[in-house]
Amino acid sequence: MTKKRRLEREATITSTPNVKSSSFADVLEKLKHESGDSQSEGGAKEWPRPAPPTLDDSRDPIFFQQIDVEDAYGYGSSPTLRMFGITECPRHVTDFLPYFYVPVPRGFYPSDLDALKELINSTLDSPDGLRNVQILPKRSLWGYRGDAKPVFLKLTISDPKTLPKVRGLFERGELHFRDLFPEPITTYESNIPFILRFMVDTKVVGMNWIEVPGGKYTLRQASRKVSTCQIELDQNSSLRILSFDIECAGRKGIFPEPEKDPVIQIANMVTRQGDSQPFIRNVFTLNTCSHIVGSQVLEHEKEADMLVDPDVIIGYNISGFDLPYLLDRAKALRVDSKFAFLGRLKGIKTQTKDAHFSSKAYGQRDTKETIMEGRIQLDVLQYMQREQKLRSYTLNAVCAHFLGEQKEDLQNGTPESRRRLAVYCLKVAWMRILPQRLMDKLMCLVNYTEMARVTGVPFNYLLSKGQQIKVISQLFRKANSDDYLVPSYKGDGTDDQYEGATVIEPKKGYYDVPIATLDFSSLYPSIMMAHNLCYTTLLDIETIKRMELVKDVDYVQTPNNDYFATVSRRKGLLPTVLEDLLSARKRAKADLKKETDPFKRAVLDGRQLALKISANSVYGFTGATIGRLPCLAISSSVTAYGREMIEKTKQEVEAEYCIANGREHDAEVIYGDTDSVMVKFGSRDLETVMALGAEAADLVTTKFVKPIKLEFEKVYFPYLLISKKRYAGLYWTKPSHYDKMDTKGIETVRRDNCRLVQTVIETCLHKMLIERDVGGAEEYVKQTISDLLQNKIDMSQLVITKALSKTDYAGKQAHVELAERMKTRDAGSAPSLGDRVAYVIVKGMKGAAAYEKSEDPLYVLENNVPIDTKYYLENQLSKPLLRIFEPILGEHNANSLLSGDHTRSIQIATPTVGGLMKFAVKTVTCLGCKTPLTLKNSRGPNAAVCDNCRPRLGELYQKQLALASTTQVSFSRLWTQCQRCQGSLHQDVLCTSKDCPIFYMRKKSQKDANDSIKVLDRFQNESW
Amino acid sequence: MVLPAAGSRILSKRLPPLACSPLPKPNNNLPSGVVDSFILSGETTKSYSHQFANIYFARLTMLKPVVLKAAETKWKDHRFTLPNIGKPVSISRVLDVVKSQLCYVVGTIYMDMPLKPNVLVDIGKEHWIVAPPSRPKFNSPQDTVLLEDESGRIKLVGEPLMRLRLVTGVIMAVLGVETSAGEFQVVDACFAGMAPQGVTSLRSSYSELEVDQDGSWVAFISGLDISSSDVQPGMDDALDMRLQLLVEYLKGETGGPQDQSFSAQCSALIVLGNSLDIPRKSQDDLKNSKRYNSQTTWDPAPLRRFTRSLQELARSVTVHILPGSTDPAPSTLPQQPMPKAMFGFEGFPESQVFMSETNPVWLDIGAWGVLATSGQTLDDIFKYVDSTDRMAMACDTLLWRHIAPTCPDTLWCYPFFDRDPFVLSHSPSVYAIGNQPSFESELMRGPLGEMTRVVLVPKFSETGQVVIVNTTSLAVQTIRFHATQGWA
Repeated sequence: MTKKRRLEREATITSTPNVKSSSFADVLEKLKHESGDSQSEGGAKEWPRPAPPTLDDSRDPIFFQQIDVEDAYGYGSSPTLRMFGITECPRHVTDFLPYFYVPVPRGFYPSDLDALKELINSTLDSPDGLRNVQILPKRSLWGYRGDAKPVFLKLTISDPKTLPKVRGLFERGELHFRDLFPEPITTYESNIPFILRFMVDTKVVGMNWIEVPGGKYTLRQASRKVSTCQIELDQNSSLRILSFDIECAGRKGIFPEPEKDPVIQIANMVTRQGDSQPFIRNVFTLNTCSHIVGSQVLEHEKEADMLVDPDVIIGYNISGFDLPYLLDRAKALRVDSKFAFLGRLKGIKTQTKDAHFSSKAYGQRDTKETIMEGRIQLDVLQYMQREQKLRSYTLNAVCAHFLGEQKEDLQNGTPESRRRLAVYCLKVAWMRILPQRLMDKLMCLVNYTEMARVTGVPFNYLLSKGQQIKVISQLFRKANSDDYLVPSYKGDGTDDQYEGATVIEPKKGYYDVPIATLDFSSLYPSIMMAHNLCYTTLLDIETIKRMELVKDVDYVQTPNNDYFATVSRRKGLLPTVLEDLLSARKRAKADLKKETDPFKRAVLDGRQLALKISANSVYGFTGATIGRLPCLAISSSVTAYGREMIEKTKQEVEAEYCIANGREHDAEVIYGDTDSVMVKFGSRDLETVMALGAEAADLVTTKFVKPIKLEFEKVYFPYLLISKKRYAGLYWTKPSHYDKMDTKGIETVRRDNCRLVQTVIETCLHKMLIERDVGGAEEYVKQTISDLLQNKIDMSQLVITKALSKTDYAGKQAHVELAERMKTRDAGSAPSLGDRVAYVIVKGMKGAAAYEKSEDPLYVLENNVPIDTKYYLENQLSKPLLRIFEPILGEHNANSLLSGDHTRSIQIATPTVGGLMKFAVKTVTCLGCKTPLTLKNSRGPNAAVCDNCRPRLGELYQKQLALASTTQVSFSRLWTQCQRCQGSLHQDVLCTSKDCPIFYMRKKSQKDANDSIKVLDRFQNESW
Repeated sequence: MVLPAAGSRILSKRLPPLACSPLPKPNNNLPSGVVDSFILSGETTKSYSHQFANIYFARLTMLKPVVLKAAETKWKDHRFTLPNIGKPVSISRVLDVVKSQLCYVVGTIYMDMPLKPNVLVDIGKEHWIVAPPSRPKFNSPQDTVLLEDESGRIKLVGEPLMRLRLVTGVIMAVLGVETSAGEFQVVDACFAGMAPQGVTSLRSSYSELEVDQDGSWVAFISGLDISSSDVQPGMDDALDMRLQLLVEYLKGETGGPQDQSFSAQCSALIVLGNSLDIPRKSQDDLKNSKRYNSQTTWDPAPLRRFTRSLQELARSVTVHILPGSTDPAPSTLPQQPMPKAMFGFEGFPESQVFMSETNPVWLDIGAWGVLATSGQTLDDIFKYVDSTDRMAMACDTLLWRHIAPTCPDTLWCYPFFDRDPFVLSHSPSVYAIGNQPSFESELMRGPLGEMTRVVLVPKFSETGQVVIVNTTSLAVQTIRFHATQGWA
């Protein structure tokens, strides 16, 4: 005890006034405080939210951040919308009815309105289906026909479900009203989702703040009309984010089925947005796998969800797996009546439905949709698939990419590992923060929130729908305020392709001089603004003739031979939308520069990004032929202008910057694509080129209509131009230091390539561009090829992965064949449907097809199966290597990389399985000269060397020692790293993450270490 | 001619009386199993098929009861009892810690250090496997301390932790409370304390021996660093000369009569590693060679020079030689004996007085044995603690009852399956750590009268110092050899 006291005294002396010295008395004090708190583990006391303040519905305005809007049925006869916000309780909006417009035919008089209404209602067989018909002066969005406003019929319908029926009457021409609608006619604004309709009309955007003035609502009952104020607050309220993950007790080799396999664990994590540490952590586990206990666990889950009441639910692949699984499981256990209420509304069952997602930008994907009223779902997997291009989308790969960490992977585990999951939940729970951290790292939530605000769509739309909905939302908003009506276009999915962007033929090569890049900033939006391209300004020849418009005064003819009215006649809608977006972006960027608070900065950055994306997607919207409102006249005119401008830029630059014009060098445009041109000014000095680039950009800008602006952004130096859309270079924005290495189209992340390709290409580019050492890059390639041929390349570099998506492939495929073979070896560890199969190509019999030569990398390691190095050299490495070396070395010299001295030394592993090996006898050979050792020529059959090599014993011992030390150290380093990664020293490492770069290495090091020790032992039998 | 005057020596005031040098014979003081605990034998031990978790498990199993007992004794005091909470409760597993309850729990320390070399990061670079540590220290303010056992781990916070020089792998008891944030607020910590010395405590005989300056002396030397002659010829000659002086000194051929009488009493020379400094060609060097084929250069000269000295020495004293980090031996701990034949001792008549040992090694010399290491254990601890007091760290290892806690996390070792040989079940009489920057010595005393002489042995190549310890009185002295400058 004396020692203890002494230590304390020291502490008080050394501690500064700021640092609280934690003497025992202090801790005692703290303990009292702690013990006064509830005894709950993992912050359970913080589950319930603070009670909402009581409100007087006649006076108090309600402020809340709206997070979700949805339509609901079953509240009386009128359709109801619910808005969910952070101040709790869904808001019900009634008195809002769907409607659409049809043009008023000639011969229709206001007196006909009632008759029309009756006719429609009787056709529908519902007396109140069509509520109201009005005649309003509106104009169509499509085309310019002067400023007159023709009249339209506004048909207000009682129920969103009835709307398509009414619309159908018009569109199919089935309405026989005094033959006024003899043939199918276009309806207007009839295909907008009801929720969006509401949001557009009330000017509510996603995730914004809403004020409901006192007197305009009644508490807990259907409110009156919601009036909104669109305060653009630069902050979010603290959203509660629940991150969760489930683990199922799978049976050997079978993907878990909710009907049979219980959920053994659910890990939850709740964070307030902006905090780095979760304030609630809890895990529900199931120790015995009986069904009765299973139901208890599920009840827990329900309880947790309800208590925590998160606003946002995140996870990895939750919408594809976790949520549907939980629901199905509940159904299988017949507890769904208790469990399946994950939404915020009482009495509404949560259900899952299959959804098919198809978008030109994101590809097609089958997903499952689970509707949770009043909660935002953000599946990080979906986010990744949309926003990031990666080699693999497993959580491990994603984490390794963005967080620089590996995640332990226990898939395909033995029953042992499953047991461990259940028992050592603390650690696993810790791991579950990963999606959360990923989300923070990538700012998904913030960016998406801003996107919802900018484009005015509900948050959930961003992940579940494509790009178009965002443009539609903005288009409707703008159109409505200007009395335009958006026609309901029936997409017929024509494959009309129009000419895309132009590419100036690249002058391939390796440029060791600075190459300036001139970019048109927001090219397509600015073209649309500059030339007033819009639906509303679209003209046709007849109109021009009828209205006697004058070319270049009243209208312009685009290079694509379409006609658009000029601003003097009418300002287009799209240009207005774009102007708003771009000026908002400018503002956001300016604010960003001033802002210091990191959270606000993140919000602003998210906003400017959202604005940029929105601006660019407007062009895409007009060009999407299967879209809602394609207008190829606009999109192809835009690209045509773009082509013209690139060409013109090239001419201007080359005309101005030439020796004939008193310049030092002739400038040369070596490449141009879509919105940028690469100019070689000739000077070798970085600063000079930067000055020239800026000057040229300003010069060319003056030649174009405003707001088109050519900007000088960066210099590539050196620059490797391979072909169209394929180049690499060192990116400079300031002369002092380069910013980064930039590569385009050098596809190293393709999954059917092995990692070796990626490594080699990246290293080569690094050596060429950053170290400016082309010779070094060549040498590196030769060394790598030599290593490959000598079997020295790490297995993880050679592994190719493919998903086993279905069993009956038509053609034989390598990974399918392997999966079959693995099943016969050990059904338990064999990959099952949905798994990614990892394989390497091994030497097969002569003439064996490639698919027969696939093999499990672990099996290869264990049995020393020789790798088919020729396959890797010719099918994997050669093409990408030649591609980047050809511009530098020329075709002939580039080929010499693949053959020559370095390819002579070959080492082939001696397999322990297959073929002849059954008959082979192993003999110990001399470590010096490989002579088989016998009693006659050495000190016995387990000696190290033969008698002839004995003088070299020291050298050979040294060599073996170095080898043994290397393998032992790598064994230690690799396995301790895995221990650190799994977060436990006392448990064996069970991870089977095939994406981890050290997975195979660590297995190999184990084998190598064992082998090297045995060899070393042989020296004990020697004399020196 | 080598001038004896050129070699000066520092001896204690009182010189040991003349006596016949007794040949060392096993005195069987060490518990059975301790002496050869670092020998790896048999297929099962030498296998790399196991993982490292087993070592940690064995370590915890061996030390947990001890630490728990120490903690019980320490914290039964009433000052640790709280009025409305009561006495601290012992919790058996880390995972069972209950929030807001004053308790103590035993577990393995894990230091989460952002600067710790990470193979995943290194792998991205090209030269990774034998990447030399790029910095002398890896600790940073971002380090966090975690306590774990087989059930899970918990984050430790609190000021007492700052005062402790903790490294990964130490078994420790902590007293404190789990906070609402899920962290463990530490009030006090407790280690195992010094291990006992022998079953029958020989206190009486100790005090007798303290008076009696009789007994034999052991000499410790480390870091001879005999390198290839082509590296630095001048330096080498000086080193060679000092080595020659040492040999002659130990043989009693040089120095005054007092020195000669001492050398007669010196029964053993223990060489604590780094005898040879053979530059190891790394794999990367080999890779960079144009020949695409691995070749090593082997210079037998340093080994031959060393062998010559050894053979001469072995005629008068027993020589124990430990491999060190630069010696030709596998680098993972425990380093196995270098082949005896390598030093030309095969068939040599004095082969019983030349012992090629493991590193670390228990030698059955003195009352409770000598525990010697070539210094990697301490060097590794040094890298991860916020302190430069090497002696304090060495003493810590005795209190932890573990001489190499950073094995296997950052110090590479064999993946032992069922035991942890680095656990001290027993405190040695002499604990010598080689290849340290300077000589330091301290006598550690345990609560039951245990005594251990802790010696940091400096590098001979840099200081010319040899440390001698009396195995009975535990007195310690250094002798410095140096050659006159400019003499070559």
